[in-house]
Amino acid sequence: MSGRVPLARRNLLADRRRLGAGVVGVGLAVMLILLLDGMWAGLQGQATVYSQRSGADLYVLQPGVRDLTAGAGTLPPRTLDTVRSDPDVAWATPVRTAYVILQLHARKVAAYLVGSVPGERGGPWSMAAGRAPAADDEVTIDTVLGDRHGIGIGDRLEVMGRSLRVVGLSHSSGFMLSYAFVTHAALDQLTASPDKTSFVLVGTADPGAVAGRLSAQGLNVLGRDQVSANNLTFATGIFGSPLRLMVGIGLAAGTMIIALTAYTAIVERRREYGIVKAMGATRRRMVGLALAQTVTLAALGLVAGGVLFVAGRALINATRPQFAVVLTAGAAGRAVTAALVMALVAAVIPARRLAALEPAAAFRSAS
Amino acid sequence: MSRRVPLARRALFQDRRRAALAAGGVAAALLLVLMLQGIFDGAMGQVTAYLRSSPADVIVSQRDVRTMHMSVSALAPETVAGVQQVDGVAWAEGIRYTTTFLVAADGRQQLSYVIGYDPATGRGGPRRLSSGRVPGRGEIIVEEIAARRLGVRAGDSIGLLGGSYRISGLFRGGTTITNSVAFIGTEDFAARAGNSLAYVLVGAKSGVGSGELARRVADALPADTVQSKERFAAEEASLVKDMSADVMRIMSTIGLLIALAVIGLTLFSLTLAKLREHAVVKALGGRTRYLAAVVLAQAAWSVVLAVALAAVLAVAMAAAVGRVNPAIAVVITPASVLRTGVAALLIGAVGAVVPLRRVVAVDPASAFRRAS
Amino acid sequence: MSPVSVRQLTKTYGQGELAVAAVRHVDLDIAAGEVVLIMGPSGSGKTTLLLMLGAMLRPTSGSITVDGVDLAAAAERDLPPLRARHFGFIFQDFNLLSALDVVENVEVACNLAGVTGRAANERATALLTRLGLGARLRFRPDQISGGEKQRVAVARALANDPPVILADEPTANLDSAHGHEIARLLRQIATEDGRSVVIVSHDQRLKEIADRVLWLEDGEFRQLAAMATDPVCGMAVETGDGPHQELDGRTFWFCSTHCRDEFRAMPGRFTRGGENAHSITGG
Repeated sequence: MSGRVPLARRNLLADRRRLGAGVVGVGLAVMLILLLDGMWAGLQGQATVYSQRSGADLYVLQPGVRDLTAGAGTLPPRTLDTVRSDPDVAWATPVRTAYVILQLHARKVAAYLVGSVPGERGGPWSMAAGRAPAADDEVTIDTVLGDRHGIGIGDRLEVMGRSLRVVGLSHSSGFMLSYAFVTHAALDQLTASPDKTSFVLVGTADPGAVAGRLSAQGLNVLGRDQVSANNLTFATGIFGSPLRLMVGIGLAAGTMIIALTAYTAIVERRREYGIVKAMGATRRRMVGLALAQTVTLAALGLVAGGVLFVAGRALINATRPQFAVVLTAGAAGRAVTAALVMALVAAVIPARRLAALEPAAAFRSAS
Repeated sequence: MSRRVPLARRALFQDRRRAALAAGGVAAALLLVLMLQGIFDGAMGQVTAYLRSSPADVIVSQRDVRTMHMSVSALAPETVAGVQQVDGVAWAEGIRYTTTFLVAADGRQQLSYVIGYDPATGRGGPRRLSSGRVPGRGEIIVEEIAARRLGVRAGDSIGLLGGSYRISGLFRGGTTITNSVAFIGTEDFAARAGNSLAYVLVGAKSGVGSGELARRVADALPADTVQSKERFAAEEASLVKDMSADVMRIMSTIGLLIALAVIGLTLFSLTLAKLREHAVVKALGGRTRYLAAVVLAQAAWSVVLAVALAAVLAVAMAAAVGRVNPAIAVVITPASVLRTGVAALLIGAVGAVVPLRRVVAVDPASAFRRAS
Repeated sequence: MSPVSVRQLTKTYGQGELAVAAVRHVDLDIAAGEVVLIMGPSGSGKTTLLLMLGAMLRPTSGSITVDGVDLAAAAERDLPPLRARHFGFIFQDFNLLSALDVVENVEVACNLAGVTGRAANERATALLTRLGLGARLRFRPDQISGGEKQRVAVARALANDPPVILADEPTANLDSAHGHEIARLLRQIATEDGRSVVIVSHDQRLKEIADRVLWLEDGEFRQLAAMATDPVCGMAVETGDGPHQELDGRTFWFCSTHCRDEFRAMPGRFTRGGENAHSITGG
């Protein structure tokens, strides 16, 4: 195609406003897809953040449970003793979790309460300010929660009827969920059920052997990576379908916008294209013209989408940081593929219009 | 009947392909908004399914606990007796409550709230079973969609809380994309997960309203939270609403912006293409007002068509999604279509601004210029 | 009183030294049922005059009275209804609305004049039938010929029953047969309906149907003693000082020396059955 006058591109670029509107429309669709992609990546990171950062090599879970999403339950009696008595176990500590609804500023905020033993692992892994809770009336919340609702160190937080004092802010946000750390005893009291826990964290230099031995004694033991993978499966199972749905719709919207812009550009200059045909352009050339337009639009839309995505991500980060939007290398590749697919599909209708043009259109006078 | 030639509509649909593409583009953008809203409305329906079918008028829970979803609640064991003393109470029953996994023989799992209740009265369980019977000892009733996901039927066994239970019956309603609901007898629950009382369901004597009864029970139990069933269900629904509010806002904004781009594009192209004809109409004596009305009518028609198309597609897509993944209940309500329609109309008005300015500026004398 | 009365109509563009007078102090009276043909070289101000007559351009000074209403003095917002009430327009490029079919194109003009619903439809149908388009009512403009398009345009011009018809180069895009047809129609409208028809055109054939032919040059009507037709290019030219050639006792007048030279080279080619000196009375 080298050396030819890029007729399609010139025509497309001639009408700035129409081009602008079309590119913005496609850009928004691309932005949507990138944002969803980014949220998906963020979700995956956050779904495994606790299991990866707790410090444990092994997890002893309730019978039949595969990940950390179940609430508190009953572990077999003397689980902790059994675990600690293993020669290769460096340390073991129980952790109790519960979902709670915090009523803040007339809004319901879902929080994930994590109760660990003070001084032992299982609490916040990265502090922004203050410390982990030591007493049963203390709580450490994540910075997202604190920023969003103006809660700082020293303030009080109402949790399940008890007033807890905020002693620390941690870097620990979950996807659409806020972490709050208390002592194990606090959670026992809040739920008035002292004999329960959710899982036991185990630190060991030889996880394989320890896991084997503990399982033989009837305990449900999983490695850290396995637990993370299961947590991830759970999270992606929930959000996967709606996300794919939204991406699909976004692709459809983008495709139609490209098609519409290219089609309008062609129809408005049909006399010129009729001239081109009259001058001997083949059908294939005409299809090529349509493709050239849609590909140009898709490319411009891709660039616009990238810019919009960066801006959108910044905005979301600033206003709603609990939606972690992560920029990944794969996302760019996926976006380019998406743009290409959109361009190809969108070319169909404009191509047919061009193919149907009569060269005689060049000679017809105005209506 | 004073019918005028529908110039707006004729021009809009003169090119079928273009009209279809424009309507499609806007509809896709609106579909985004409708489907998302539908997912959340569906979730709200499922989340409140148990409550809506419950015979209870009032529900007692631990202080500050207003929902069942994403909550833990613990009440003192004597709470039931305390409630029964209150004037106007016909019956009071406690239920146990926890979150755990139902595990099928092949390893498939379903996160589920498990409620321990008294099958003899049945008040704490689902109003109606779709098949089978209430659970005896060692038995469990499971929600239909959950059963399908687990690949189990009535008569099969599933594991939970460290034990194995036989499915005695199935019921419908309560499975969302995140979890389901299952019921076992109180004794079975206590044996595995402790006898801690979670919620107390209260029935009112005839003639006593749920709101009034709630007030009375609350007076009797100042340390606990007492809500009428309606209030409780509203809290559950608002949980979904609040959690989804941010996502909705982001997606709605993007969707409406896309719609704006398409509508603006369409109207502007159309107006530009017809500029000469607008000049002719002005020459023939058409007022600017008339032409402005034509542009606005085109905006309105575009929007109406797109909203209708989006609504139809949404309903179809909801049915398709429900078939592929029954746990995602998508409910498209007239209210959400209306809301989206109004937003789209506003978008249409904004999109008409630039074309309107062009049309207002058209000089009828330009109809005399030679066409190129 | 004549339906159209123009006094000292002037249109000047620009200011001071750069001022250009497109139309200067034109006086004109047009009677009901009269066909007036305004001719002249390009840039002579014909279109400007037509635009002012049709209340689409504000004169710099002077008055235009149509049916007793002074258009020049009317407020801007009153002009559209005045146009709808008093004028019918016929354009060189037909200017039909492409999204509407034939009958709707005429109906729209009825709507603009305040007639709607069935009454408009019936009126449009009647007009189109009168013009021989009864079989084309539901066709779109891109499905009918140029001659048919202009007839639709004529029907549209009559839709609001206007006392005055303004036509801008109505035959320019038509072939010979259709051009004649339109010319005849315009004559018919004037004579049978008693309307005033003002035509701006280069087309010589229209002289046959005109009651008066006016020559507009440099914004003024010329009182011409005589006009002739250039036998080479067919343009109307003044007799007087312009290029001319005597041949066999006849004087031929030309628009330019170029045409005269062509004539000289092959006179026989241009004198067979061609028109020559022709008298026209000035307005």
